[in-house]
Amino acid sequence: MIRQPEPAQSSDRTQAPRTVDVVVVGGGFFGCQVAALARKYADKVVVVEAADRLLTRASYHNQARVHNGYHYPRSILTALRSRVNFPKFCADFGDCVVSDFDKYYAVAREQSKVTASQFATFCQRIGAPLEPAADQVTRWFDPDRIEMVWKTREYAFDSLKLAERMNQLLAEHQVQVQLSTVAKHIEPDADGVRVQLHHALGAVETIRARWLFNCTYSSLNFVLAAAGRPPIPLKHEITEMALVAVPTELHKVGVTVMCGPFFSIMPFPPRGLHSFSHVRYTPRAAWLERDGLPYHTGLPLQVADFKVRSAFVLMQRDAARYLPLLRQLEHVDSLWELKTVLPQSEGNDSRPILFRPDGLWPRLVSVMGGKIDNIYDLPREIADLFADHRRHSDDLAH
Amino acid sequence: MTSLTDSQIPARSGARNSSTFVSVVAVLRDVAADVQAKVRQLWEILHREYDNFEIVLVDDGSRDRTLEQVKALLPTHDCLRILTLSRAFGREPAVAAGLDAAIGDVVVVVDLDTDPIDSIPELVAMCCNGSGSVVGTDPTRTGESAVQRIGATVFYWLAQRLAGIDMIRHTTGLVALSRPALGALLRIREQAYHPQVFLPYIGLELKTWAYRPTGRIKANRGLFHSLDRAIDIVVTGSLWPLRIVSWASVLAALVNAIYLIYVVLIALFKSHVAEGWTTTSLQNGAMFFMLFVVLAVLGEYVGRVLTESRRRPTFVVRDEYNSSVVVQAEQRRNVVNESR
Repeated sequence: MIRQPEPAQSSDRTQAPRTVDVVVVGGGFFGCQVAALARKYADKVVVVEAADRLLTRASYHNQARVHNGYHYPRSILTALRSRVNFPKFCADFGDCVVSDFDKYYAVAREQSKVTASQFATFCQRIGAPLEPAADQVTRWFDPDRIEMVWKTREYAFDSLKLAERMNQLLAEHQVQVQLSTVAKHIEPDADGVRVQLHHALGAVETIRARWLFNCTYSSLNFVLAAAGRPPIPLKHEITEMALVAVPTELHKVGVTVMCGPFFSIMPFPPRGLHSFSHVRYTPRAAWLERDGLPYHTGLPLQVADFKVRSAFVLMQRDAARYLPLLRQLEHVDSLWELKTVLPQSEGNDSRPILFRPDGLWPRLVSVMGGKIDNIYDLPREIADLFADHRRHSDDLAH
Repeated sequence: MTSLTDSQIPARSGARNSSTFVSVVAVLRDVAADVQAKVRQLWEILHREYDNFEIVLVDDGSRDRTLEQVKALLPTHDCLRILTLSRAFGREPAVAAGLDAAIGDVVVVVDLDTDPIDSIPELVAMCCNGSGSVVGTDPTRTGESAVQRIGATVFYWLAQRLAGIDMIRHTTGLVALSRPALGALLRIREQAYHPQVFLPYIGLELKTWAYRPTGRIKANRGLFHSLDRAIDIVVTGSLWPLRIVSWASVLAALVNAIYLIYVVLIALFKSHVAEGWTTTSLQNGAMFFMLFVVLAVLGEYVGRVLTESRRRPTFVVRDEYNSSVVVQAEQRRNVVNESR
């Protein structure tokens, strides 16, 4: 279905606004998934991405872990859901999943929120494979600080390959992608919204869309502000993930120490390095964004705007106490990103998806996926949204 | 303030030290009144001197608003960590908790009330040159009574001469430990934390740093408290009392054996043995005295064996709070570019 061009509005003197069915703002993993899913219900779907490639921000800047439940000993439901989604994700994105390394989980003696026996029981209950690590591996750890080490099955994904897959997916679904473009100034229109698209080279285009999906993660409120709508309460954290070269023993190894102020190190496929994060030192600064507080309304948030110093030294000093091999880490680079969580899920591990049609304009839908395997919750939401709407318009028609 | 260092190291000035990661551990107990100012002052010094540092504050079960006061600093001061213990465990276990959590190359334990915190860089510099440690001492024993001073002198003499405990004298609790020394200290997983005993035991390069605290150090609050610690240190540091009573027991047993022979001989070769009340009483008295001394010393060691074998945690950390420096509004304005 292609709509006829309508006469130009006064705000746009250059040309008549192009009309599409769906505009997805944000070309991350979730934005791409939303766009592909929306194609089932709409003909013309456009993805607008501020960067010059897809999946460059939070979809790239993370530990690229394909969760298999181990991470959530304090939330058995989240763990079970990860267990269910793990084989699905591996099947659906097999060529993006890297599995040629050994993943070890260790439980610390002090300050840990689980004990070794609790962790073993938990893994048994969720059916996650767990076997005691070989002696030569256990010997890497300081026995005074680590109670027990297990070998587990957990993989990493290659976010560059995932981006490639998303390019293909969008091409297959004939979704138009507009890179280096920022959506600004959104206003209601007869049957949807009108969006000003600002291209990096200066071109400005206004398009009309029946639906706008706001999939901009840490910039959700930037888009809402552009629409003059009140912000969604969000908590932002500036996070640092160190990229490190590891000693040979750890080349094909990932290690996570549970469950408290500890660390995780695992292969980071796109760079051929290891990603190294620390519960205490990865979040560097945090602030709350909500109605009534001054918040960001300028360009999409970039970490570079906040001058924060690397905490690699702290991460390494702490982690080497548990795993002395880490003294040999070589800091190559750091990935900085704004991590955004819903304030209500901050205290627990639930990380739900946010799927929120705006109160005033239900066709402006904000979507935020807390973690990557949450995509399996998306199809249902999108289907319901479009079905509700169709029912609603049918009611109006009859 | 006089500082009598073993080796004369010039105080650092000017550029920040980027190669050393310094942790400073301080125990807080009901100090709400001035804790904020003191922590701020400490932070300023460390921030000026070091690229990498952390302040580990251990709240030893404060009942006043201490925790609230220091938590208020978290949004504005980075590199701040607060550990709260589940109850008041006492200074030594609290220090142990802080040492266990500290991640620095050099860890300095200070008392914010009595120690000269502006001397921390000097201590760190002394420590950095080797793998050893620096122990703060106060030979003048500031603010203590004559009885305590005499008691201390007698104690050190006894401990050295009789028990053979190689101990650093007049320690105040101020300690700077390099990572190797701290590692070795933490490996001594005993219930008691007595660096003045353990550090000489570990060996490594050890220096003392004499200074005058600004007040009486908390460890020597009172005579009874000091006495208690003295016993603890002796039992921790040596098996000497046990050895002494063992020898005394052997001696007593020998005396007894001789006495038995004497009794038998008397019985054989003498008639009308009516007197002897004196010797019997003496023997009884001596034996019972011996017996109770042995019991007391054994009791002390059995108690120690029991605590060690139970392996109960010396401290329990309830919570940890870390700096979460909120990006200030002034900074945020750099990125805001109003489009409305």
